[in-house]
Amino acid sequence: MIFTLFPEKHMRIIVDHEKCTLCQLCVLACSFHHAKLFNMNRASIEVNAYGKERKIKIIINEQTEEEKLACDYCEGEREPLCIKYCIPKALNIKGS
Amino acid sequence: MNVFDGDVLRINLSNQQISTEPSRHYMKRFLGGRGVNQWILFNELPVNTDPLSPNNIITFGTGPLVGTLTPGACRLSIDSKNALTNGIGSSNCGGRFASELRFAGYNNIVVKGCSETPVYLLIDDDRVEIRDASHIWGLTTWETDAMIKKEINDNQIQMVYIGPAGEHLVRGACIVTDLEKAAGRCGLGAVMGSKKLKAIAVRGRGSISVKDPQAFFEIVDGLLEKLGRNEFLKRRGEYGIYCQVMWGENYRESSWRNFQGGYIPDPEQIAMINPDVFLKKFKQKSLSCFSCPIHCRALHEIKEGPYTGLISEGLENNDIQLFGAKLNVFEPSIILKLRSLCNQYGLDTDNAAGVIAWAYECYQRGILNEEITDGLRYEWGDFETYIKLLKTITYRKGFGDILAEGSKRASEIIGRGSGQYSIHIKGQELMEQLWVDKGWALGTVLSQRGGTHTRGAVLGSRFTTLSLEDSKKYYSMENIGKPNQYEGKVKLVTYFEKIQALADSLGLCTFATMIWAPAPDAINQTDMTRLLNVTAGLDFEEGDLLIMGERIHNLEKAFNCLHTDWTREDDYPPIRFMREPIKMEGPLKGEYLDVNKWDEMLDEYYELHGWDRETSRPTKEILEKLDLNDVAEVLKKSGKLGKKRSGNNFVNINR
Repeated sequence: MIFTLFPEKHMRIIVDHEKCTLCQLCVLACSFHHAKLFNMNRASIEVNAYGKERKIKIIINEQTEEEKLACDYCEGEREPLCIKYCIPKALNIKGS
Repeated sequence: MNVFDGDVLRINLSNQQISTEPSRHYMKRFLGGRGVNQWILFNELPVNTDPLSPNNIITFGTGPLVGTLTPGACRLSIDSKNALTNGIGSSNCGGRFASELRFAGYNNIVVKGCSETPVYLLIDDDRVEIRDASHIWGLTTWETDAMIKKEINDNQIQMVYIGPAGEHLVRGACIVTDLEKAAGRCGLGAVMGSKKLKAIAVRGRGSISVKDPQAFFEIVDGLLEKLGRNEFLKRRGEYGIYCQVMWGENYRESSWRNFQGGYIPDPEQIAMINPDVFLKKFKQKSLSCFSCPIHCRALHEIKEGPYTGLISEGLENNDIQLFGAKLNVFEPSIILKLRSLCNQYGLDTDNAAGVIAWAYECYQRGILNEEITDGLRYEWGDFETYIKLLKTITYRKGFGDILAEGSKRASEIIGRGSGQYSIHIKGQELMEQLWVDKGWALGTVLSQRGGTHTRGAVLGSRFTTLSLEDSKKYYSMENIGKPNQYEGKVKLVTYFEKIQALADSLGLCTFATMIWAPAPDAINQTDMTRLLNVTAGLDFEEGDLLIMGERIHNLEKAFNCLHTDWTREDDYPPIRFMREPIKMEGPLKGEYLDVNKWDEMLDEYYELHGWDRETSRPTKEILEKLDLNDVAEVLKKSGKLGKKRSGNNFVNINR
């Protein structure tokens, strides 16, 4: 799955659901970027598993919805924190 | 809230009262998780309470690091009076329940009393509800998971629950979270069942802040880097928890047929359960607990044979020892089936396989026959009978009703000399083999929750490649030595006891610490101290934290003194490990536990702890040194304080 977040910057976040292990480090890091604290509901990224197969679904908000802020590509950070803290490399950046 | 904020949520199921209190004053002395839980139990649980009576208390606690980005900070410690031993009950699990509870604003849940009808708790931030669970009672853990999610229309709600084994008060019943992560030992599922508490569901939307974010992120980045280069953890991440050939040339020790002989004689059987078989034939993906980079939970799927379609998460070394070595099942898909059944019934695998192995050895020796076993022939490795037994134990049907009591109690009911084949520590089934590795044996036997290797045991084989420099720097040992050497192991066990108490109280998974993942690339006490200081704004020194670990360990010891009559005599291993050396040809042949050496280790152990060498009880001096004056006072009033002694106090264990 590809999230085209900043077409004007030609940047995209590529999501490989198969590699995701459900650790939530990306969600925690994302919430810290937005709110300077840890809150699973204040992140732009959501990672959940469904059923006995643990089918993983990752959603990156491209628009702000209630508390969930839109991804701003971690403006002000050296790189998107979700990508930095994705140990199994399920999240990758494409473009520059 | 800051990591040191949050509440204790108190629920009385007898009168439906719900209240909260800040937990900070508990945390100052006992950190969180296991430490705070144990303090509440020591302070509030009446002596002589039957573990399965309404008077027992069950506590669920998270640690101050849970809910932050700290790697491996995901654990939930569940503590109560032990349904098997009457001493402390303490077990923990990973998953996402602990962090969700923290986000809801709670560090601990304390459940007292007993409901008249089945209930479950629903915690939705500030809203706490005791809900009817009549329609869920009787369901397996997997069915319960699906039912509650559907009922409250929340697919991502986090839960702990029991299966039918807990409902039927099976003494080896566990508590499960997220389908297959279990707080296994100590019969805590039966305690929940006795309270008619089927589940706790939690949804938290709150925040957790850290005092010094910049310093915190620097530490986290450093930890992720070093955990990422730890070769052992890499392997664990690739294979799953079961990742090493336990029966390599030098470590073929096993629990074969209820610990008869000490090894698996057939190399073909060993090959059948090689980790590579599970990796190549069954593994689908790696999964993590909350905030953990190790992703050690392998998801296996059976794709052929009678159990096609079964998906099972988190195969452990224990499963291989239990169903493979102990019960002689070597077909990997059947091992997966058996462990999965235990998780669905809410049976602890260690306790279930332990009592079955006892019954099988008794049958093998003619102590049990078909008249007692409901007509079943007990033949080692016959998995269909094992499947039947797991069910009869869970529902306490026929002979299963006796097996549900655990092998110690069952042997007291059966008599006929069956007690010598009950391989237990203080009443709880033993999973661990104890002939070779002396630090492993000592830590396992002295574990205050009744056996088990996760309270100070040293897995010596894990440290054989440790450099002398790292040995000294991280473990304060000139040389950890070979696994089968007695020398130096006592000091290491007492050190691991403290580190383990800290990890369990901070909410850290022990796999990420230097107890299981060898230093230098693992979380050590310096890391723990720094994490606590920068997140909570405290000013601890390393020594302070180690004292905290020792305090928690002594608190549990004091609980055991108060609630049991255990003495030095209860700190010896099952006689089999002293009388029946390993028979296998090769480097381990003849290994056993020497009783005189054991006595020397015990003396040194009590001495290092400042405990009475005759009774094993803590002395007033050590309790006061650890800021446990109030605990010393309680023990004094009960006549259970230890005395300072000199000379040896060996117990004659030639029983």
